[in-house]
Amino acid sequence: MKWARHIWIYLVGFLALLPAGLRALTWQEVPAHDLDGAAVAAGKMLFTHEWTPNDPLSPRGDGLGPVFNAVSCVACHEQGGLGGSGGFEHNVTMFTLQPTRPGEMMRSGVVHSQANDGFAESLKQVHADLPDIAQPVLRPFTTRSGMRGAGFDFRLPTGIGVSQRNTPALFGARLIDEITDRDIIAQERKQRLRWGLSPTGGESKPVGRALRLADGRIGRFGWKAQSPTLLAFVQAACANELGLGNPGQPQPRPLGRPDYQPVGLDLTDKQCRDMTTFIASLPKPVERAPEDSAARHEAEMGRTLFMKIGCADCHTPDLGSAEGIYSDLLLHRMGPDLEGGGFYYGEVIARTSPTAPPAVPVQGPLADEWRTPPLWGVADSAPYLHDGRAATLPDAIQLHGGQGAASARAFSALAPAAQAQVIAFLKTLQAP
Amino acid sequence: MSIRFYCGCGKHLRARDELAGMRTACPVCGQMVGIPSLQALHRGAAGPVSVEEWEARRRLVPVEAPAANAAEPATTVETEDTPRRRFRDLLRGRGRRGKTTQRRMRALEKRWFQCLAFPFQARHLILILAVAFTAMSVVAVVHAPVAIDMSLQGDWRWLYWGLIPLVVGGYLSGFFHCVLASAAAGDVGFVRWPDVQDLLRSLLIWLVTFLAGPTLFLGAALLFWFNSGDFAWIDWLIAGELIVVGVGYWLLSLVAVHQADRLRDATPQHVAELVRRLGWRILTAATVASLAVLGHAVTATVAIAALHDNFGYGLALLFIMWLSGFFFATFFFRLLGLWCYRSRVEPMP
Repeated sequence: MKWARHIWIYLVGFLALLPAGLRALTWQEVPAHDLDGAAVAAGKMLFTHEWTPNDPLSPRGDGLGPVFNAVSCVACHEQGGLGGSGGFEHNVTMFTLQPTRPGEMMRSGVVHSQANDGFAESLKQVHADLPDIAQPVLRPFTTRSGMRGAGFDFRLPTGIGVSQRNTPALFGARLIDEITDRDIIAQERKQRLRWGLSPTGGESKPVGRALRLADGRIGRFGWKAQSPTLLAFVQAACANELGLGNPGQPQPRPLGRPDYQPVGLDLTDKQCRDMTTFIASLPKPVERAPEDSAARHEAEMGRTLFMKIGCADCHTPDLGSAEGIYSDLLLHRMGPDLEGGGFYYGEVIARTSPTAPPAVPVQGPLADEWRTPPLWGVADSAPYLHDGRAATLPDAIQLHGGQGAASARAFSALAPAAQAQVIAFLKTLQAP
Repeated sequence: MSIRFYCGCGKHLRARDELAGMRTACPVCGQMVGIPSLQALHRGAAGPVSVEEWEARRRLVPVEAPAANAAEPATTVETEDTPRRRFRDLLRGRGRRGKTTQRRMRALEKRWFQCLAFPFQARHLILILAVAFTAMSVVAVVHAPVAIDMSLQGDWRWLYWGLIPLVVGGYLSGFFHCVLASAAAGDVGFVRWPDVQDLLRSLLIWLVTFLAGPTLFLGAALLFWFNSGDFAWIDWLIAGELIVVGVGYWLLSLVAVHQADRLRDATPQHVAELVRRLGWRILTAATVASLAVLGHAVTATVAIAALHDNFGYGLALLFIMWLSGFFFATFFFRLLGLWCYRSRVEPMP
């Protein structure tokens, strides 16, 4: 019967379109931040505020500390303007302890450079064979064979890792926050396709991987892409750098006083959101072409070379809605010379509060895995690499290993004039 | 001049020359009956089919007879013992080389499962193609980074990115083009090796039929895969549907073009006409074929990914995928081609 056949056709059509309809209903876009002027002003005040123990701005907590790396956000984020990157002297020292018994987890944490009375931390508290200092100085070196690296003045005991992190710039953080997880995963898929479906996380081909957290979100902030949102990044930084416990991240316990109990949270949720709103209001870095036509031409040639030698494989110019970011926000293996264990907020990032998001990576970053740092504003963010071991841009390029080694070799193979063009291009990427 | 033929009911009929290859209704029983063609139905066929040959074939291969019992009579073919001849014989599965061989006239397959025997008849060709495609896939995957590095010099990129798709696409489409054309013409013999003209012609047909519709669905599936993040089950379902519709439409479009060997038939109207004429069975077959293509594509991605970690496993999986793919596609194109042939020259069931 004709009507019966029509019913079948409609039924099949309906069932075929049902999944697409359901998906359209559940399709989520990242909402744009509402930059409330009052929140921006309040956030700026908190960002520049010099915190003290029992600070009046944290009436329920113990204020600054007991262990911290700076007394204010702006103390480190100051290069190129408010919210910029930090110098070598602001490096943060962290350690990793490999498990010594089966079933034990790797431990990692921060050795804070400053502390309130009676809470001072040092590397010796991590391991007896380490020196009694809180912030060792990283010294760049060159081997006889011309290999470059950086290390400390002391020998590391077996199973102990000590590395440092340089302060990243916060310009354009709002745009990074607004990139969808889908865009980051799409970048991962593009790289896999381009390199013959090569698995992510290999040691040679530039195929990065998105850091997937247990709740399904994708990490994007921090040297190890450990934070999925700007708010989470701000909360973690407040807790770890200033010792300001907040609803998203408890403050760290001093290495010498693991039994220390904070009296309460130092920051309210509103204070964290105000600070996030202020950081989101920071302008994105700019690309300033030189006014001189010859210099402009050199920079243009440098951009072409930048693409040609494979830098843009990972430092992709655009990512989702963030134009000019020059990053894929994926984790890439950078070789044994650039190892740095732990993912910075390692010990405290685990779910410690019922209200905290389960921001735990499904598969944590390896010691030599680093998120591709955005190159926007790179001209005003020296020193370079995760611990600031590269003082100049050519050094930074040549120190790339692992998945970036091929591009570093290609850069070294360029004529000096061509290398200068690449650097001239990078110098056009400036802080706002 | 008119064409003499007869209907399944036994009535002898005549038709004008310009109706050759078309169908008409029998004035006696009312059933549709195909008018014999005076031209070769596909490139490489033996030549124009005379009325006598057409009638002789119908007598030799009775519709009701089971395939196994319809292998008479035998014809004797004299051959020269040359390397080229030997290679061609090898491809055509003729067994002993160079000597006088006997080629049995086989019956056209009547049931769908009888078409499963066809890939076995073309086993040498399928095996060679599977080995060649496995090797090419491995070269493309393993050599891809080197090729991309070569693009730094910019000299060889066009050769790499132009030649491999041309060879892969050409031989893939050329082989199946021959299978489909041979079946659509009602040929009983083996599929022949495509020459350069076949490759280019079939490549053009496949490209046009791909661009005229399937590209929308498959492009949408690709975009969806790229931009939907980590897939949930519903996303797999959506992507699967898009691929099945895209590949299914592509297959139907290819058959529609082969019906009259006209490129302009790659339109939705002609595809709809094909579906209307062949009924639901062709939709079912296209869906099954699309699912098989999807399964093979998934296997291929697994195999290629495995090449980077476990080369031997990846290589074996890739070879099995190509072998299975060629086997299934040969079977499927044979089946579709025969359905088209029957819908043209035999009374409709």
